[in-house]
Amino acid sequence: MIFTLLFQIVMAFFYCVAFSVIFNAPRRELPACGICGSVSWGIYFGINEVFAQSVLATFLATVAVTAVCRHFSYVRQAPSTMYHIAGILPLVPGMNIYNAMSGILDNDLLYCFGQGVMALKLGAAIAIGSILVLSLPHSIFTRFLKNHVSNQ
Amino acid sequence: MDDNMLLNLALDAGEIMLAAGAETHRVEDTMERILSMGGNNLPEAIAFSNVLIVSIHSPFSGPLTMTRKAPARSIDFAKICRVNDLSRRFTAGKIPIEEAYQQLYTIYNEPLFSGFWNIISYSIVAATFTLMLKGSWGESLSALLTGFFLGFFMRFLTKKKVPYFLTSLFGGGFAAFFALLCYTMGLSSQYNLVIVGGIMTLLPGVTLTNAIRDIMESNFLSGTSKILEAVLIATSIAGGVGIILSCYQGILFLLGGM
Repeated sequence: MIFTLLFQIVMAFFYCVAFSVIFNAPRRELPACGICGSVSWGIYFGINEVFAQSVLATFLATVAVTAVCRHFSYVRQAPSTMYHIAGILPLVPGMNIYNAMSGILDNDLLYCFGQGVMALKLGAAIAIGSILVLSLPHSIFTRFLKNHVSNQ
Repeated sequence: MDDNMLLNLALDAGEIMLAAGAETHRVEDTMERILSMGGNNLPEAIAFSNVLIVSIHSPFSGPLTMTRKAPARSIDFAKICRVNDLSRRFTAGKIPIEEAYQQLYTIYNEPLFSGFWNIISYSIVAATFTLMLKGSWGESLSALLTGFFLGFFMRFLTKKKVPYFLTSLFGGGFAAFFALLCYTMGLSSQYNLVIVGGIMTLLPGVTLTNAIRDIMESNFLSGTSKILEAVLIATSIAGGVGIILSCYQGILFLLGGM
């Protein structure tokens, strides 16, 4: 179990770094983008394995990764959009969209509808999770960091 | 400070950021900051999904407004970062307006990552996502090959300036075709996960994320148009995959009937 989780986290790191290269991220930001992907996929995978609740897992992973991306954006003085996009990418419900489409082809409309609604639910979970953390005031992230810096 | 030059600088910066895939709020904010360097001139900056409007009320030449239509977008994080950095240095008064103009021009003409790395990344994305969905090594290997050729194909389509709808349609079809090819040659035991890995690079994750951020900052016009774009792209990818898959099933049916 632990080995599987670690393997998944490493894979998510490479996945997000490769995606950032496609989107032409600056070279020195590539590791940070990869870490965002690892955080989101690690949390999603862990919760989904233990509780089998993919919507809850997506929501919690989005909340965590949005907080991490605002933190990175403050520390590294770069737009938070970049880290946010890299972190969200593993959670995009590609599998459900594909399944819904293959349901149409097989004339299995019940399956298609279920998978399509699932994709919408996952998309809504991503949206609500992001909005929740993005609308927190900026001072929360900076205050924590100022204390952190002054302690050193 | 020359008002016309200031307006042009703000528009250029906004255009680069909007085309590189920044969210609307950031574009408006950057343009307004640049305009406010002209002193007490009531700056206003508005950005829609592909329109930029800037206006200042100059004490010397009266009210001035300029409009520009932004070009088609191609996601580019490096440009967003560098324009952000530039506007920060400009508004801090560290560089004069002429130099800011020169640097903006350099950013605009900056080349992308080399084609080699781009194609390698396409294959890595496909292979790792197949593994993340608990695919086997054989499926991952065929996803690697699919992504590799998909990368070539997408670069070709981008160079030919094919419309975005057709790009997704052909891309989805191409990924499905290669996944089925690997399946029939016995490289992978099933084709579903390979296709999903291949189409992950085409899915509109960036558009969706930006749409959410736009709506959250109450830019409803840009947000809803981006969501529509995302739905349209996802539908066309699914359509491309579906056409190839149903052709495959038709061929299987034909061979079974003989």
